[in-house]
Amino acid sequence: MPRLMKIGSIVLEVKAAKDCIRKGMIDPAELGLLINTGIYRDEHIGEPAIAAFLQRRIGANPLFNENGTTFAFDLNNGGAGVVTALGVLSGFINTETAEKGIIISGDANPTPGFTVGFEFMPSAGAIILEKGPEGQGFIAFDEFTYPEYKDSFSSIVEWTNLGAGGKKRHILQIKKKRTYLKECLECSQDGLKKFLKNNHLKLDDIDLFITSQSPTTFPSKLSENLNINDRLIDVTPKTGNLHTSGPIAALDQAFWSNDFKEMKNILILAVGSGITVGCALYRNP
Amino acid sequence: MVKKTKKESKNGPQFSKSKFESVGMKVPEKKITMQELTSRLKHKLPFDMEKLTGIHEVHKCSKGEDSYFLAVEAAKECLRYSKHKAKDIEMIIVCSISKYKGGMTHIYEPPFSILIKQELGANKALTFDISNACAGMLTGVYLMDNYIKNGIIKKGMVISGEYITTIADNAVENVKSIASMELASLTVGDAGAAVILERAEPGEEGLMASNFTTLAKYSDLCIGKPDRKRPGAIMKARARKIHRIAISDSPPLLKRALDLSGLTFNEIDRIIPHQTSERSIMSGIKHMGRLFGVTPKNVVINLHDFGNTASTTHFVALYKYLQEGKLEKGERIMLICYASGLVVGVVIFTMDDMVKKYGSSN
Repeated sequence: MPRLMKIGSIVLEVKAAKDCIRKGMIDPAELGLLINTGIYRDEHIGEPAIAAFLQRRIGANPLFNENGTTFAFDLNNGGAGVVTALGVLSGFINTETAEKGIIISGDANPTPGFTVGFEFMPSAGAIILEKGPEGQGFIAFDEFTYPEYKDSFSSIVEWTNLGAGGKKRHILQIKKKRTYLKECLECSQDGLKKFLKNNHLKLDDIDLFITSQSPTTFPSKLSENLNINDRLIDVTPKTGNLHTSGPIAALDQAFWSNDFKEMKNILILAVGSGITVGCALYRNP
Repeated sequence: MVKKTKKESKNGPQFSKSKFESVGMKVPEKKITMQELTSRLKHKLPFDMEKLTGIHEVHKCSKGEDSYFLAVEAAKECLRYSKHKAKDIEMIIVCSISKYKGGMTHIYEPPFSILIKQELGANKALTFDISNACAGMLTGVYLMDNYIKNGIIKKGMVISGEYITTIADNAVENVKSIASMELASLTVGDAGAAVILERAEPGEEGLMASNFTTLAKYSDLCIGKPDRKRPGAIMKARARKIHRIAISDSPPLLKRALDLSGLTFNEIDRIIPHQTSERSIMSGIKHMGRLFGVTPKNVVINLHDFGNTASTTHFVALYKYLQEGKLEKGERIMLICYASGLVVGVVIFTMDDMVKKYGSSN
C-alpha cells in the first residue's frame, strides 16, 4: 500500500552528489576521494562508512579500475566538518594523490518518531574540488576549538524509554543549551579574527562570507554583529535550519551567481559542537 | 595559508616523509574465553569456534570502561613512550567505530576528538573524527601522513577506542549455525590504541607507501548498527564472501602499494594483516605468496589473546610485538586492512629506532 515517503540521509546525499557531478560535467570515475561529513544517518549505521554507500550509488569506481580507484570514508567534525574535509581533500590534491575529489554532506532524522531535539531540516549538498593554478582556489585553512563549551551542544544515542515506562529503544537525543547561539557567535568572531590576522587580511578584504546555516539565526546574527549584511549568504529563509550541509547550500547559491568570479576573497566559516570553528579562504584570480 | 615544505626537483615536488614515533595500547583487565562465550549460545555450534578462529580469549570492558576510556588510556600510554608532550601534539584524529562514553551511550556530538583533546591537555591540536570501519586507524594514518607531507603539521596522534563486545553479547542470542551472519561478531574484543606520527628528518626511515581503495560494490556485505531489541550494536556480515573478494580483488591494490614503495613482495620482512580469523589470514597469505611467487617471511597473528579489535588491530599487534622485542630496526613492515566498505588499505614502513624504546631483539 502507498505510504508517506521516507527521506533518508543516503538518498539525499546521493541526489546532491549526482547533481554536483552533472553540473561539473565530469565522470564519477574521476573522483579519487569521497568524503562524507554528514552526521545523522539512516538507522544510525556505524559501519561501513556511509561514504561507501554513496560511492557505490554514484558509480565512482565501485570496483578496481586500472585507470583509477576511489577511496571513501566518513569525517565527523560537527557543523565544521565540511571545512575540515575541504582541508583534507585539498591536501590530497596538493600531493597529487587525487586529481579530483568530492565532499558530500547530509543529515536527516535517522529514526523519525524516536528522536528528541532534532531540529535540522533534511538536506544534503556536495562539492567537487580539482587542482587549480598556484595561488588560487583554497589557499588557507585553519581550525579553532573552544572545548569550554563542549557541553553546550551534545547528541547521543541511548537505550532508553526516556523514563516514560514501556519499551526501551535506541533513541537519539540532542541537547542544546540556550546559550549555544551566543557562544557560537562569540567563538566564530574570535576564530575569524585570528584567521584574518594569520593571513594578513582585514574584514573589509573579504568579498563574500559563506557560513554555517545553524544554529537557528546564526547567519543573520553574525552578519549583524560584523556589519557585513550585504556580503554574507543566508539561505535559511528558504531552507530552514541546515546542519552539516549548511555551508555547501550557501556556497551553491553564491557559486552559480554571475558575481562569484568577480569576488577575490571568499571566506568559508563553519561552526559546530565542540565548539569548533573552521575557516577556509578561497581566492579567485 | 597552507604551508608546503615541498622542494621542487627534477622529478617534481618532494614532500616531507613521516614516521611512527610511538605506539600505545590499552585493553580492559577482564577477559572472556571463546569457550565461555560459545557456552552462552542459545543454539550450540557443531564445531569448535576456538579452533576455527584461533581465538582463545578476548578482553572485555567492565563497568567504568568504554570506547572513550580505552582511547584516552591508549593515548596516555603512547605519550609515555614519546618524546613529545600532549601540549605539543598538533593534530588528533579519532577513528573509533564505537563511540561509547559513560557506559553504552553513543556520542555523535561533540566529536570524540575534541573531548579527548581536552582530557589529554593537547590544547593546540587540530581535531576531527573519522569513521571507516576496521580501516579506521590506518585511514587516520593515511590522512595524517598527508598533513605532514604538506607541511601543515609536524606531529600528531591517531587514536581509537573500541568497545565492541556488545555485538558478541547480542550475537549470542542469534547465532544458530556456521552460516549465521552474526558468527563473526563472536570474534571481537575490546581495545584502545594510539600512534604518534611525526615528520621524519632527512635520511630517516619512515612511511614508504600508503594506498587505500574502497571496493564499494561490496558496501552492503557487512553492516553494523544499533540493535533494535537490546542495548548495544549488532553486526551482520557475509564473512566468507568478504574473504573471497579480499583474496580475488586485492592483489592489484597490494601490487600498487609495493610499486609506490619501490619494494618487491620478497623485500617485505613482516606483514601485519587485519586480525579476523587465523584460517582466513593464512589462506589469504598463501594466496598472496602464490601470486607474488614468494612465501611471506613473517605474518603477525595475535588473535589468540585479543581477537578482532576492529580499527585498533594493527597497532595493538605492533605495540605487543614492540613490547616483546620481536621487531628489529630496519624491518620493512606491511600493514594490510580489509574492512567493511569494502576497504583495502596498505601502509608500508621501515621500523626505526622506535624499537629501542620498547625493547628490541637486537
